[in-house]
Amino acid sequence: MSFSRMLGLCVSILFLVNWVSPLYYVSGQSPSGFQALIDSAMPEETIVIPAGSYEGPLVINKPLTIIVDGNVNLVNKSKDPAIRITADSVHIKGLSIVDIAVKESASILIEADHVVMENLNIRTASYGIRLNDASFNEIRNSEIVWESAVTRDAKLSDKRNGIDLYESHDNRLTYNTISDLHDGIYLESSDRNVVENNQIFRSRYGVHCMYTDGTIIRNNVGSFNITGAMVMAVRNVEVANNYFYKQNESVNSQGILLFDAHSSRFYNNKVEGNRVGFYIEASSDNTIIHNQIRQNFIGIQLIEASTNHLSDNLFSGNVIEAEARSSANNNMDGNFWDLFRGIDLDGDGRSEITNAINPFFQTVVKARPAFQLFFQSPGMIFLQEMFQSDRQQWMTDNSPLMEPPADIQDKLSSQANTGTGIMGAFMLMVAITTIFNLGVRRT
Amino acid sequence: MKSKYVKMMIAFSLVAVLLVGCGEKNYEAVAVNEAVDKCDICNMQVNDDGYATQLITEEGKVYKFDDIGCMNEWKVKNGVDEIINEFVRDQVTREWVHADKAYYAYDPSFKSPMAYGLVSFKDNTSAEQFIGEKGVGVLMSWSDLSSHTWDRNKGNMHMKMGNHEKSAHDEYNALDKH
Repeated sequence: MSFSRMLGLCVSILFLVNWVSPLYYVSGQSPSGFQALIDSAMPEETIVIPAGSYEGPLVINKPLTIIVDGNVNLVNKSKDPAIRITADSVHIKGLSIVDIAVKESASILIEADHVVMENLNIRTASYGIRLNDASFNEIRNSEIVWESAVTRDAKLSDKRNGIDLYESHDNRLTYNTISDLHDGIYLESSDRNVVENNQIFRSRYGVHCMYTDGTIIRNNVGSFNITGAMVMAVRNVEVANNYFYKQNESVNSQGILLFDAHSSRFYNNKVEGNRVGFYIEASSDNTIIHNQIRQNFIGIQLIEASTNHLSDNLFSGNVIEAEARSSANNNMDGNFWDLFRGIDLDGDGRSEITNAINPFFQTVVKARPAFQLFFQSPGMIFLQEMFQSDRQQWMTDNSPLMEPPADIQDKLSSQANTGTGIMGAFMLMVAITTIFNLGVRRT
Repeated sequence: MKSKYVKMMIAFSLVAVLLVGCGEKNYEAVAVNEAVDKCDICNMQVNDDGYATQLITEEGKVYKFDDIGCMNEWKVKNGVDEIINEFVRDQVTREWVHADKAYYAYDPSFKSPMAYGLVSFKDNTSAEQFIGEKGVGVLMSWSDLSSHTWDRNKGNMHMKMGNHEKSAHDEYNALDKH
């Protein structure tokens, strides 16, 4: 441990012990008080900001730890970032920021490495936190929302992203809650970032990757966004254990969308009640296994996708389970389709009849979008059944499962059984009492 | 009984009027509706911003794109024979401009929805002004675009040259700090 760091630690311990020391305190109402405190602090020092309201913008150009004593509100009306961090190893904890100007610069702009932001509460009319050429940073336990007071009727395109990474690598974004913004978390040309345990609501896209390699998107929850995870122009991305539900308020919404995505892994995700569960276009060599695709309008939709591997997925309660166009060359087997009636001749749990996905409707709609009106109309179904040419070119599940994958089935049946059991018992009780009381008295 | 016929007549004539209306082909630019419009190539929502583009075919079908690069991609896939009009937007005023009459500022560091790095303007002075403000970029006309490489700049640079390609993002930083 370097001498200066030791000194910093000693100072901070001393300070924490004698936290009433007036030396480090400034008037809460002073507009420049916060910045003055930063300017007068030694590098690697810990400063405690007393409760109160302060005015931005702030620039932090040395390694500092900033903690708060009570409610500290930083209000920024300027066109500059509320906080701009240009030095490595800055740590900020527990601050509330209200950034009311509609602008291009972010509420917090990080242009440094090894920065930690935690327990922040940001109301922004711009980007929440923007990382620009910034690596090894951590943003956790923070809440970022759109500042609705000044811009109530903002269009989606007026809004900016919650956390926005550009050319920033190896960052960790965890346990954040983001709502009512453009893209919740946007990663562009940024590699090996970890996006974990975040919750994103009512934004355009929950997590949006563009040109990234090695991103990990795990355990996130998203709802009422246009798309939960938008995975575009990527390689080696891992999307696992996420839950995206009710992405259904837009005509173009999906749970998870892959476009130009390659060699990536999508597993254990649950996409429920979306317009389209999984949308896969122009993507190859991806592994899509053991996902639960439930109650979507279209379970999975593949367009010009090839050499992807899809197995052990559960399709349950979707209006249409799958649609595919120009996607023959995928390896799909061993999925459970609850609308498909298979026959298992050899008792291995897999159907000997294949489940081929008819591309007729997709092809018609592609040429004439208005024909979506004829969705599931008897005429269209009839035509679809007539259309059997090039069947070997259709996307086909070669050995569909007869039962849902074992571990998924358990959850389903136990839920169903307890619920129905209790209900059944209750109704039986009611029936018996009614018959006993009323039935006997009448005779 | 009679009023029923009258109603029916009115209904038929309304339908007839509507059908006549359908017959007329209009090749003018159509407004972007953020709630429903998505890019015909990359599936992203089309934002009602300066990067939106659209092309209209002989049949009167309108295809909208979030980035001029996606419109180019559409032409590569579907050909140009049926296209009547192509529109881009003036970055400043957001008005629709015929793509062949617009001017373009290009630099790999310019941000655009799909990172093609092209920004459109209605005249060359505003394009030059933009380039002047940014301190980088080249001015291109519609005919220059025909020989453009259409690299998704950051993406390609990033994918091909690895993660530590510096020059472009240094430029970008310089811009962002202005």
